[in-house]
Amino acid sequence: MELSDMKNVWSDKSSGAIDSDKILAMLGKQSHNPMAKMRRNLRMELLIVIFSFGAVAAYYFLAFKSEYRIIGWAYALLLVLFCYYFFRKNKLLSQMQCTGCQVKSNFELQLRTLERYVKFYLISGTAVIPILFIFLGIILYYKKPMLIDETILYPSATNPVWKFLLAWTILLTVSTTIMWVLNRGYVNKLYGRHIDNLKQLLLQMNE
Amino acid sequence: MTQEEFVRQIQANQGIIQKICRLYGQTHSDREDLFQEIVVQLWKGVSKFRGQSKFSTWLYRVALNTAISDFRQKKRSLPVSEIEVDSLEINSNFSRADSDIEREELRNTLYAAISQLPEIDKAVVMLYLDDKSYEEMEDILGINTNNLAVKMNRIKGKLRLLTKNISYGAQ
Repeated sequence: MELSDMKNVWSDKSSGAIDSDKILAMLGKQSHNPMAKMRRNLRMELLIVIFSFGAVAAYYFLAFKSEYRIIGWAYALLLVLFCYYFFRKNKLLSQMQCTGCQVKSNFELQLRTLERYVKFYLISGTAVIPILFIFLGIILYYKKPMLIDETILYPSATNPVWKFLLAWTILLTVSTTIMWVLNRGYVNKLYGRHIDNLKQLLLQMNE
Repeated sequence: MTQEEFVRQIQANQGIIQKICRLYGQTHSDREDLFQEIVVQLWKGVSKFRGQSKFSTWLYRVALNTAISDFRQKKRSLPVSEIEVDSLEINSNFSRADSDIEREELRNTLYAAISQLPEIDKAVVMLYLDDKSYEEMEDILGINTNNLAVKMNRIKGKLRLLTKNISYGAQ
């Protein structure tokens, strides 16, 4: 088929108008766009974390005659950190798409933002492990002092500071490395193909 | 823009959305979903439309951005023979003005041929067949005109090959 014929065939079609009620019904529907789904899931996660962490924090503030108030503060601090984490993710997701922009610049924006998103996900997902270990260590130090003489993880008369530092360094390095490897695999599984596809599309555009 | 004005704009430009759905949706259900998603995205973005470009240019951008993103999410390796080439009928209210079966077959063949092209090439060829100038295509796709000309030459060759045994008006 010649190109002039293709244009004739292409322009032949004329559809009847879509019923305006059908279009109005579509306007009330939720977007099935992956970004919109991710934002909805994120909001749900935030609500779950606020209620669960908030409840646990409140419990430690009020129960045991407030003796374990510090644990309540720990949960409250973790809640603040999680909130920052969610708001940052939400901001990146809302910046990820510009459907009214030129197709190429939209895909460049998506790729750039998605790479930042993945980096943030990886860093925050990995950092949570040393933070939790240190947190737990501090709480146990103050609330279970009998452990101090029994474990290498606290300095004492029988455990010199260098041993204590070495033990923590090994513990944190090993656990953080394992977490980083696991997170990297998970993030690649979630977003790796999407990033590759975006790169492929941009390559097609620049060819 | 009020809902009524928006609906009128969609009705006036529905042909563009239908063509994009037909090119990027592999099954009837995909096309219906894609049509709805494009309308939702247009409605969500219409408040940001400042009228700096034509409404149709903005609509092409939103529809193609949505279709190509959606396509990447739903990409399945259907063999060409299984790709539905029926006309897009979102619902029974779509009427088929063209009753010429041979032309419809040719159109289906053309759509099937274009469907075999990579995603970006599909968008380029669609804009070309819609008689858009290279400047307008650049405004929609963001690919510079020189690059578009080279790309279009390559696509023309591919399309000729894909439709080489079909002649228009001679069947």
